[in-house]
Amino acid sequence: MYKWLLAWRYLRTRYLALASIISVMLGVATLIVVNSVMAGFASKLRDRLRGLLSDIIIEHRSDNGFFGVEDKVRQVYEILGDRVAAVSPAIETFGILQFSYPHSREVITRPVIVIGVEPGSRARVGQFCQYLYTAENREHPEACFEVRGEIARRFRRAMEQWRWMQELRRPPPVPSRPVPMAPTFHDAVPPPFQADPESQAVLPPNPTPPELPAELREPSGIILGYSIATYRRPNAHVSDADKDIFLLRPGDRVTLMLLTAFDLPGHDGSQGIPRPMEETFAITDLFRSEMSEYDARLVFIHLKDMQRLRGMANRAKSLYIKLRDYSQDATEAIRLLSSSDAFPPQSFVVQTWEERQGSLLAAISIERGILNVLLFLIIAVAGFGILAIFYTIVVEKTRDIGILKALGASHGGILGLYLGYGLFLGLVGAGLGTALGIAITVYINEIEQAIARWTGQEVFNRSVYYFDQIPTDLQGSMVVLVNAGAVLIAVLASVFPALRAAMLHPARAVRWE
Amino acid sequence: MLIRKQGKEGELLLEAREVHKAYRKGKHEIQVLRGVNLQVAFGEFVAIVGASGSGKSTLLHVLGTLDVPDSGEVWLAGRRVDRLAAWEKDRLRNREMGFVFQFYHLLPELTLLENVLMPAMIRTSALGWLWQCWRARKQAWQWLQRLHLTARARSLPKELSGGEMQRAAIARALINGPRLLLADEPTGNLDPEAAREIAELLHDLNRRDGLTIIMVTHNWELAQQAERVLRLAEGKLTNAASQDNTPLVLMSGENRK
Repeated sequence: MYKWLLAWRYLRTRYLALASIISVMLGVATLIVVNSVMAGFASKLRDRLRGLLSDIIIEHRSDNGFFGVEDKVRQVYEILGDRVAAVSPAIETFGILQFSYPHSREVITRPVIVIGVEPGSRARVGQFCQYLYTAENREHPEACFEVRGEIARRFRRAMEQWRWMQELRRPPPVPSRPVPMAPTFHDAVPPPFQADPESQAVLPPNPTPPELPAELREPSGIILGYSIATYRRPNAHVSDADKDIFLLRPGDRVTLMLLTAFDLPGHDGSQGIPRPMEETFAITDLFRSEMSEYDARLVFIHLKDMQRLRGMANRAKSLYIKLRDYSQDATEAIRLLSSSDAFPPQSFVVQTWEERQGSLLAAISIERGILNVLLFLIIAVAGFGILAIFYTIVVEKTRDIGILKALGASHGGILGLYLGYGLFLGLVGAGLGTALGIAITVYINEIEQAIARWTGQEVFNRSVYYFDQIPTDLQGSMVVLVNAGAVLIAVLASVFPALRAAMLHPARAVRWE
Repeated sequence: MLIRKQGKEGELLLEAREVHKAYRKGKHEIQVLRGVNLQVAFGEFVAIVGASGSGKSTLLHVLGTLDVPDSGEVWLAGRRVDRLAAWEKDRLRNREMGFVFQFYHLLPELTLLENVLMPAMIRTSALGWLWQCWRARKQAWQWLQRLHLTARARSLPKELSGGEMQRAAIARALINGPRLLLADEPTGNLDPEAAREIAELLHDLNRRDGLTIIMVTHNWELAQQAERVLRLAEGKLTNAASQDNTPLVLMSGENRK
């Protein structure tokens, strides 16, 4: 009984011990915040990575893909049976995107990763449709490449304008007779460029424009990564509504250049080597996964357009498979698929999404592990602080220990008193640290903004990181583990001083001045 | 009655036989006790006088099992106690003996009442305390009433006067109903008025309640309170001489107040 009473009184009266409480508190708070943020990053990243892919990906080793999409899809269903929830074929390749921003005649060229997808089935295997910018497309992803309505009108107006520009820029016909001093070229200066397509009045009424080629009259749709079509206003605040400036909008025109697949000798007069193919597309939507790398790189077109452009009729490069129960069936599904004749390993790579993104995921978990070790070392440092402070307290309390022994307190009692004191310190420090850590985690975005305002320095640079907000994931098990670790370290640190206190010679301790 | 009668007057309570104790100070060994023999009967009040550094406190600690003699034996109520296991000594100190020190040695973090209750708390486990606490508190309160400390029960030691602290220390020593009170210079740090008060109190405890007291002091006046005064000199106990070093023949009753 006296142990707890005294430990409690010591806790309340020894201000020296506050230092160790604070060090435990800071250590615990740091661990909780760092772990929450890292877990938040990791889980959001995993979520996005998985959403962009699907559970299992079968990929052909060649860029030319495999023949017979329907057959392969059917075979997947045959091999896996009930385990499959959905399958979607896709073709991924590299391409060059060319466009010019409105108000500017500058032509911009960018390398991109082009993915040909079947929007309907793709929406079922991953979270493709959830990342679309237009709400309507998120609900009806199968129509996301269709150029219709306002998009079609905007595109048509832009094409009319563009056609006039082409027409006006065309060099004047060489006159049959020399016309003296008549600079006809200068007469044909194009009208000032009007960004607003509504003001049609500026279009010259005459002469009649030439017919548009068919691909421009009925263009195919394309979905651009969000960062290709926008840029972040410098010094923009996260909460600003207009922080992102749109350079391209749905309905704008882009030109995509691809290489045909290789093994098509004779097709279209080809020699069996890749040829560049280009086509003009109308933007139908933007794709925003909040992963800057993908948003700046990915471009989606319909699988049919991809097959047509690359000369890959009835071919696809990969199959995305969604399982009904990933955690349970993944290993078995991988085994079944890789051992089947339909997907021989010399031609196909069968992987789960985790294996596919293995290095990135491994890097994150290694990072987290190392950080945890380092942070626990911080708490260990706090532990040594407790040890030193405790030792001082024991020396200071030597006479009191002698008195307690004279009154009949046992070795174990004194040991328990100081261990109990250490336990209290650890508990109080860990409790305060948990409160502080949770508070910081919950309000981390507000805190970050406040710091950014005070210092003028952005802590969490949105252009470097993937997400707009600092993602956090506060896990109960982690909090409990951190607390247990901190309390354990506090108790361990008090073992040595407590032993010394227990071993004190009572007669000498009583005489201690 | 707050103090239980554990034995008949005149029966032997504490005995020390040929107790030797030496201290090591660096390379030197100082022989503090060189064959001390002492017999204390139930209900006796024994004072031990001696110059400072003569080993009075050491003797008291050996008698109180806080220290172990190098050789010799200590017996308490027919039981040899100097070679007992640590836990048995702890138990003995807690239940059979009470200590009073020169510097009161109250625990500064606890209130007067909590200090008085401390031996009772040590005696029981945390769970047992839930049952015992009421009884112990009642007993402590009776002691505080007797020692006129009730008004200061909630005060911390630093708010008390020396006399009050020493009275609290005596209450603490007696809360578990010990057979023996060991006092080490109980008035050494007090003003004459408070010292007299403590002396009267000890006398009263001995006479009225039959408490056996062994007191160590160099205060001759205080030693007069005792039935028997012994002198510790050169490591041995002898019958005390008077202040001017002439042998003192002790008679019962005569030098009591």
